Amino acid sequence: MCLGVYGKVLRVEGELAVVDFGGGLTRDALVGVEEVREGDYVVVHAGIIVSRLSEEEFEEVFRYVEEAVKQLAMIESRAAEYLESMKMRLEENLSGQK
Amino acid sequence: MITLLNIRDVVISVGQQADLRYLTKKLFRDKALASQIIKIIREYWEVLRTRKGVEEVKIMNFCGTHEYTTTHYGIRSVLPPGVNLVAGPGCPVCITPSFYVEAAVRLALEGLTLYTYGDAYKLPAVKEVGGCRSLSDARMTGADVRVVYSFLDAVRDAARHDKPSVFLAVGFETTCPAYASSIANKLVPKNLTLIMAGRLTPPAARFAVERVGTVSGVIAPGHVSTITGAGVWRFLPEEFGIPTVVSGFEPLDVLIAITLILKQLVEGEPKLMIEYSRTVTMEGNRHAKRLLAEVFDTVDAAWRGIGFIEKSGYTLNENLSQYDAFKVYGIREPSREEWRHDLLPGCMCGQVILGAAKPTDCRLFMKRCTPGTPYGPCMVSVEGACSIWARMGGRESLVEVV
Repeated sequence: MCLGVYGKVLRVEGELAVVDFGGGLTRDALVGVEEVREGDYVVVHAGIIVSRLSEEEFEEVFRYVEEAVKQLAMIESRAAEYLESMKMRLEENLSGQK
Repeated sequence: MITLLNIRDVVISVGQQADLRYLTKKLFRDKALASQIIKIIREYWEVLRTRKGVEEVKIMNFCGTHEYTTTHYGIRSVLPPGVNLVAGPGCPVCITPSFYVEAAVRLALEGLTLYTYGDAYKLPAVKEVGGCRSLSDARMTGADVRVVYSFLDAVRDAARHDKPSVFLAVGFETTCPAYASSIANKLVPKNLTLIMAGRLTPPAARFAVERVGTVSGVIAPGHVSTITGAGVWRFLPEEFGIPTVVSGFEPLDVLIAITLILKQLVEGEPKLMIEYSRTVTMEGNRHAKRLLAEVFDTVDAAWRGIGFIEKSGYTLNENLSQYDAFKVYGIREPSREEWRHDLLPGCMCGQVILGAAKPTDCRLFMKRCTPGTPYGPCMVSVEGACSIWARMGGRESLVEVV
């Protein structure tokens, strides 16, 4: 029920926004956030924009993982290897994004 | 010590081309990353087991979509045997009291146009009204019941035909701003009223944690928290000492949330963390919260199969009674004293919702009660724990099956 779908805002018309969900699907949604601009990435739930996606925060979560691995590495010697292979994988993934 | 690369630099260097819709799927569904995180989880579990003597870690989720991710991606099967994931009260359709369905069916049979979401359309009531148990039954007898994707669709449709119409408005904090926004912005036509069955999740989470007792960690709902702010979950670590992580809905999100909960258990310092920081803040969506406060009052409300929970329901503000179907059509909501247990005999949904029982503990599961012929509410909604387990083959762990 609280399924949110990521979309990109195509245009804003007062209380309504036209959102592109990819794959050729666009729909109207109510603007449920303070400010939304054309080109913003948003989370839409049952026809209302509930929040915006922050590009900067995508890395934040991997910082938590990094902290966790560092803590483990103090106890477990193998943990450093995981970080190395994750780093490589992340690089692969992101370079493919270009 | 090696450090992870700075994703922000890479993403920004990609420039405006970085499409966050696809970046999420790519990063947070990556098998290689997942397998590394699973290793980290296993190591943490070993530390907990051998050094702290922990026998079981029970992590509860409060969102049907988390249960879906967990089951669909087989996350239970890759976790160590001592780490258990339990589904909590995370499905707004499952907990909608039977009374609202009965009222909606009655109004539909009286000739009104009834709107609701696909999930609530099939939701069975305990009592039959005119031979119908659900809105789907009512439609089969010729009533005008229309399934919509959003409240906005109903608003537009009702404005076109001008017939008296009612929307069965279920949902948690994520769904209710759509009602509030449409009402506050005066988009709702005069002929459309609402049966307001909206509910708040934090009071139910408190209720579940108090009842079930042995929860060692909580994966808090991501999209509810976009509205309420992660701050509403602070009581879990502070009052109950339960590590709490607000998590996203991709498989890696859930795995990272589990890692962070185990890490906190090793450290012995329960706190509130936001894993889903790409869209959740501590404060939440101020605009939506203001709309909710403007349109709704928070009242003690009934949860199906559970009973009344304090300050857990949204009801339309007194001066907006022209939108309230119960006031307009003279229907009285049952009080706490009048409320009766609203599950059919043998149904264990009440315990499943609170995380006190697994769907497979119920004797009716996949016998009398299946997704095609649902008996209890948790089998109806695609977000109900029983329905998810039935469709995706949810099991505690592969070890038990082999």
